[in-house]
Amino acid sequence: MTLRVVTYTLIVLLLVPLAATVATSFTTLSYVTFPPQGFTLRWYGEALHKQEFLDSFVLSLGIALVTAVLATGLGAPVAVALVRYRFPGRDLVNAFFMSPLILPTVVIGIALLQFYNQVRIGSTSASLVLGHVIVTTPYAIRLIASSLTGLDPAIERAARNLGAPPLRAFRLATLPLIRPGLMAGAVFAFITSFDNVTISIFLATPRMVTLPVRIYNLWDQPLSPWLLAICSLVILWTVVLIAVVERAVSVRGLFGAAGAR
Amino acid sequence: MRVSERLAPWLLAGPVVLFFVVFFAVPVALLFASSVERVDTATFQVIERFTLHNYRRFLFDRFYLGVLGTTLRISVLVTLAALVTGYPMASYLQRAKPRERAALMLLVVSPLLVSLVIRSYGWIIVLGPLGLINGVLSGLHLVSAPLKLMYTETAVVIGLTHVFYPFMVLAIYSSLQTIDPAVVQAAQNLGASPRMAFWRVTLPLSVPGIVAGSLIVFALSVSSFVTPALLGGPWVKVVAYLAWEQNLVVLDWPFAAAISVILLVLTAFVMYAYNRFVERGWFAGVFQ
Amino acid sequence: MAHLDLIGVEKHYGSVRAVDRVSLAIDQGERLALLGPSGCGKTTTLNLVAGFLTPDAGEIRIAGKDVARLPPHKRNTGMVFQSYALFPHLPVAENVAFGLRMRRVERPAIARRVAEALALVRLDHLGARYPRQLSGGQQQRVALARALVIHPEILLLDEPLSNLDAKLRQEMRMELVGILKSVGITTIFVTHDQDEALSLADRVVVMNTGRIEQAGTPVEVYEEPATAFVAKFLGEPNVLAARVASVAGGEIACELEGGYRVVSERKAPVQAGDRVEVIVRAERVRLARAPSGLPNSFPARLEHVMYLGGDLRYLVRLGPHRLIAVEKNRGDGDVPVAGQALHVEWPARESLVAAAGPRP
Repeated sequence: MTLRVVTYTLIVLLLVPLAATVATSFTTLSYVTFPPQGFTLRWYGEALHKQEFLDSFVLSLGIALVTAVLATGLGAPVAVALVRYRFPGRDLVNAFFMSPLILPTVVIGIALLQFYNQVRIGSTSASLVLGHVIVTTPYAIRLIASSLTGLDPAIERAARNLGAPPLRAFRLATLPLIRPGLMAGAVFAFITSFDNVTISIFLATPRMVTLPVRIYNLWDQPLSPWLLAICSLVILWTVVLIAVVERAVSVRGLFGAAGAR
Repeated sequence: MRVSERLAPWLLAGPVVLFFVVFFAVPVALLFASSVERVDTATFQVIERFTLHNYRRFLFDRFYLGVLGTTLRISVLVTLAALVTGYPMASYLQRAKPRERAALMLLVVSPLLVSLVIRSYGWIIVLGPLGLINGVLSGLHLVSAPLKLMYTETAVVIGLTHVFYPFMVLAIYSSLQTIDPAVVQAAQNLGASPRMAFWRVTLPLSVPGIVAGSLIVFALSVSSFVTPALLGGPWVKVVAYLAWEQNLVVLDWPFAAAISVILLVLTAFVMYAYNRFVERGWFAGVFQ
Repeated sequence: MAHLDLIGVEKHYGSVRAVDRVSLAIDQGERLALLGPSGCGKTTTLNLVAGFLTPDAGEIRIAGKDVARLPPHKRNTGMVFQSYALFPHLPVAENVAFGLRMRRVERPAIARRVAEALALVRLDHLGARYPRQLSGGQQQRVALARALVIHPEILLLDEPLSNLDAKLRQEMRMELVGILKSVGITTIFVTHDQDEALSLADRVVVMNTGRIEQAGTPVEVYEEPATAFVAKFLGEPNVLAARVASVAGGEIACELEGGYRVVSERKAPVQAGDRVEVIVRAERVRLARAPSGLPNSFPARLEHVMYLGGDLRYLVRLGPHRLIAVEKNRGDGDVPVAGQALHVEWPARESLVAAAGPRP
């Protein structure tokens, strides 16, 4: 039973920083101290008037949505090719698509930044999305591939045998069955993109700052309660997202199938 | 096989491969190319096309080697901390009833869904001079002046352990799951007390999970950048931070590229070990 | 005093009684089989003896000592698991030595006893291998050596042969019975395979829904089934719905739909008018060209002949009823053909009458 005590203590410790953030955001003092004093929603009001944070939220949301769609759209055909076909170079293609997960994210960020500058693309929302697509597509491939792997290829052959042409057979017999994989891929890409700081730090410009980078950039200033209100809102938003998504795809399944990184 | 069947995988994957070559492989290759250039840091003009200057500069300088040492030290500590705390969690998860397990698993994994910037700010509240720990300590009159916890290696180790904890738990948990429960029963049937059965059977059989989890956490720690920057500040510099600084502050891109390559080689080495161990198995005769 | 006593042992899971008032006394050196369909409580009973489960009521005594509350590692039972449960990280010899190390046996003695145990199962040359490098049959023998080397009070075998293919199973059955006889150890084994139970055990305990249906020698449980369940579980039964016509002078006469009159010489707690089942084993049903004077003899039509090499199976139609008859294929050429009219017959002692009940 000591193991149970240890486990639950660890769970509490895991949640402490998040809980402390939320608790402190209600403080009546204008500086951050623990335990927080009193209770006020004032900082939330103030937070919602920070136009630059609202802009960043909208930007992050947009980038995450586009990234999710692109990662799933690019990942699906690759997953089908990797799972359904045996072709020369298959292992190499597989390793190639998994390599963005093995490379340190910082390195990818620096590589992309230097590349964009060399080819004079510069930093735009498109280049931010591109960066996010590179680091999220591997997850989408893995998640879609794992749902394809569990699928009996005979089902699609049965559809072919019953007279469906290849694309229709795929659309009618396979697609509905890998929908959970596609969903999981999109959700994972969305969350990973929305949370990403490391790539965004390198690709952000003064006019295009994602929400996590906007929050990061305040690192050298004393912690203010309205910033914690913003952090709390993001935590709340994540909790809501998990609750909604947990019905469609299990969060643990996401990490299980997405593998270690 | 018909031609269309042979072409199918390339028709499917080909365009995406091309996209990744242009926007991922080429940039990384250019990073290697850039790392052997040398620029004049005053004019930003390239003054040498092929030189190992940047690597020499990093590897023969006490300051940079010190940063490398700090990074490795932090990574080792993070790995150990995650291992020591992750094993009991994984073993409890393994034994828990399905409902409790699902709930705990969600709690272990969900912090991963919150941006690590926000998780790091959370630790500032906990560790800061007016934070939770110092609040409790001074409330209990255990300290007269606040302890300096923020902007220390300890803070960075705590923050990173928190960030990478789920990876360790999941790795150990999945290796525990592959152990046939009858094997542990067999040990007890042969006279091993539960404690003995753990040391002689369960622990050795979970070594693959321990190694996999440790290598992942180590590799992630070595290249981490945001958490050390937020919790260590300018006082605890890590290799990834140097790369960022050279790239965005000093604007010595070739040097930033060289540091990136060093980081890349470091993680590649760990990942190679990971593949060797997990996929081929160092104990080829032992583990399936 | 018996070597192992189970006295009124019960184990409940919620409202389900997995083991329901089971009492058994097993003598020193006896080989006992727990036989039954899955979910009958046989594995639970085994786990109660090994100590992986604790009974909700009742006593378990090994050599007179109540062990019901002892943890598994203090019971000195040797168990061979269904999956063998060999330690994958230890070589064969270390697997076998494990129990001796736990008992703090001295090193030279460990080496000697491991060698003896491996010789007993004819694996003395494979001590350095890892379990995954062995075949299924070899793994099975390692598991047996590992359980025997500690000189346990009781040897427990959980479905010992179920993971082997059919041919290997036959071989291992012979080998296992040889080893168990030479060691002379008290053994309980659990199986759902009646051939295994009948061929390996001195005594067979047939279990159903947590209870003992019958305990007896293999011949007793097969030839003299105490309950309808046992009669239907063992062998290949034909079950015919009937109504008792008369009970007189140790003879029960039953009427089947279609006016067939079946006679039984067996005792059964039934009276005239009861709805019953008449159970006849397939290999006891004979086919004849003409009636031979047996009390149960009926004209029938052969519907189908299944040629199985060593055996011939016949599907026979008897008005609205169907019977299966099995005969050895002696190769004398006189095999009836489908469609043929013939007589099915069996002696009066081969029809067992039981109150209509569920099928196993």
